[in-house]
Amino acid sequence: MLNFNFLANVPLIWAKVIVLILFAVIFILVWLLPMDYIYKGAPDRKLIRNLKLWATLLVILYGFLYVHF
Amino acid sequence: MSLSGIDFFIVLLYLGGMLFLGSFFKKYVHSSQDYFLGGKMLPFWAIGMSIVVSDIGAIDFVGATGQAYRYGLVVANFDWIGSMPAMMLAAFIFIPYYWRAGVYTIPEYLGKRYNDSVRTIEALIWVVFMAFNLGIIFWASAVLLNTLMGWSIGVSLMVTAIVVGFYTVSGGLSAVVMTDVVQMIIMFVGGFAVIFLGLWKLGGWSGLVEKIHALGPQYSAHFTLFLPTNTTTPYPWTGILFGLTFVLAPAYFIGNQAIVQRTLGARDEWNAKAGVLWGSFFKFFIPALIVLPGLIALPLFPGLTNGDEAFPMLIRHLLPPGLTGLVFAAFFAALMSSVDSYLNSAATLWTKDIYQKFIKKDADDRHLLRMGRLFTVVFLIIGVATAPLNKLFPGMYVYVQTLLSFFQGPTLAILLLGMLWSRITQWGGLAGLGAGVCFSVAMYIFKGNLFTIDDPFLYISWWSFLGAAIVTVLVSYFSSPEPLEKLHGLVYRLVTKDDDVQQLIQNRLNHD
Repeated sequence: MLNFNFLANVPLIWAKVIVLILFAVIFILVWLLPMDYIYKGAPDRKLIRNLKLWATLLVILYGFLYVHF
Repeated sequence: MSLSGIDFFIVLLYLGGMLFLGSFFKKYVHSSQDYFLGGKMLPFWAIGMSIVVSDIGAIDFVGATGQAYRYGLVVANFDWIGSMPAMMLAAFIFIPYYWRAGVYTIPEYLGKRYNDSVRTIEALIWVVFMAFNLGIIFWASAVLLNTLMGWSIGVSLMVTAIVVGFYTVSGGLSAVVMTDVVQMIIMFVGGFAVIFLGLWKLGGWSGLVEKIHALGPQYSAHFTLFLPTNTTTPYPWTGILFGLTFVLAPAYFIGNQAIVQRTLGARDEWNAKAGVLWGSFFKFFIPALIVLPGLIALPLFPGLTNGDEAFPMLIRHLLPPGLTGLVFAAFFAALMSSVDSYLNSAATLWTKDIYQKFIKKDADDRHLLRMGRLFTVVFLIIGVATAPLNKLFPGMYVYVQTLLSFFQGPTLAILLLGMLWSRITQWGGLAGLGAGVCFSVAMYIFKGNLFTIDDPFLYISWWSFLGAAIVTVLVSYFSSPEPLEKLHGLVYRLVTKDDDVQQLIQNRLNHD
């Protein structure tokens, strides 16, 4: 069990699927955060300071890697 | 190998530039907060770049390249899946609460959330780890400089120690972070020069893939990010997912003082959060600097018995004069950015969590500033003095990393549970930390019987995390709940009004 033998027969593609699901969960959770929390401390509420958009860009970038490789 | 005149000029120009830039920040240091937290004025772009460059040391240029030469692209997971999810967790959950709590160190947060025993254990672990790691980094880098540039070990040690020591002691965290920014730019320029020339020689990316696959079927998995559970490498996909993604990476980005300290010096909460996300953006490119060179070296120099020779071989045979100097400057940048971070963080931990807590409780701010500088010098001397021990004990690097790995899983367990669940008590945290470390040590001792791969550190970190979490929860349920006023501002979403949080923090500081 310590070696995760019970996952030995799981096709390798499922590793990718799990990672992509993790990215999707991160994306959803970030978008559920209140905007006040996101902008807390920011000098203004310009779109460029919306950290949800930053997080979205990161999820897309890293998601591309795990789809491709 | 020998450097040409232009190469030496570039390296010396870099070293001089670092001395000048670092010492420039001395005039901004008037208090211990200026020294340890950069006066809480750091912008997000500097924080992010500093986090990334502190994470990549000179050893990584050689070690990670060597791993990529042997095992392929799977090594990139440490910078991709091993960073982004953990950095999101840090940016949106942990960093804002650390920042609001007004702490200088992670053990200080743990002390407020749990008790002084947890704080002291964590502080001592990190101080010991950082002190020994400084010696290891100094030694490994001096050996590499000796091999690559022909400098003697003593000269290599002294040059690095004097330059880094000078700006770290005088300018504190601001100097460390701002020199890190320049060091990252130099690292990227030098690193990309290597891969550009390498790919050009191999006919581009498609040429690289084609030539590696032509080497034989044993290299067929060199361009995949996941390897099966029965792989003989240390990186089965289950280890990458459970050990790296769920434990080691979050433990690193939310529990490593050298990483988190930059965000605690942010000018406001938004800059603290944005800094971590900005760092995650640059993390995307790091495998291009330290993994891709290993893949490029494989078809160019097949059959190397020691993969760690891959990067030096690339420098020797690929780079023209001038560019060699730039890559050496990049190498220096990687080395110095790790040393300055560990120096500053070790001094912060010792001053705040040990010296101020146990030795001189009534120390005023000027005294703490003086002590911070003094301890930075002391850790620098310890680093240089212990460096030659690595020659006597060649396995020291592995021992120190193994020692730290015993604490990574349990520390993450008490940080996560403590931040997210108010029912977790101080006795639960202490018991979870202790039990988790015992699990780790037991699994390490009996690893030959328990695990099927040679180096099961990813599996050990996962199971010790799980064991620590279970013990923390169980003991918490059998002990009295913590009073809510103790937890306000330390547990996620416990207080929603920021004014309330600030008032409670102020009350707590006055009480302390």
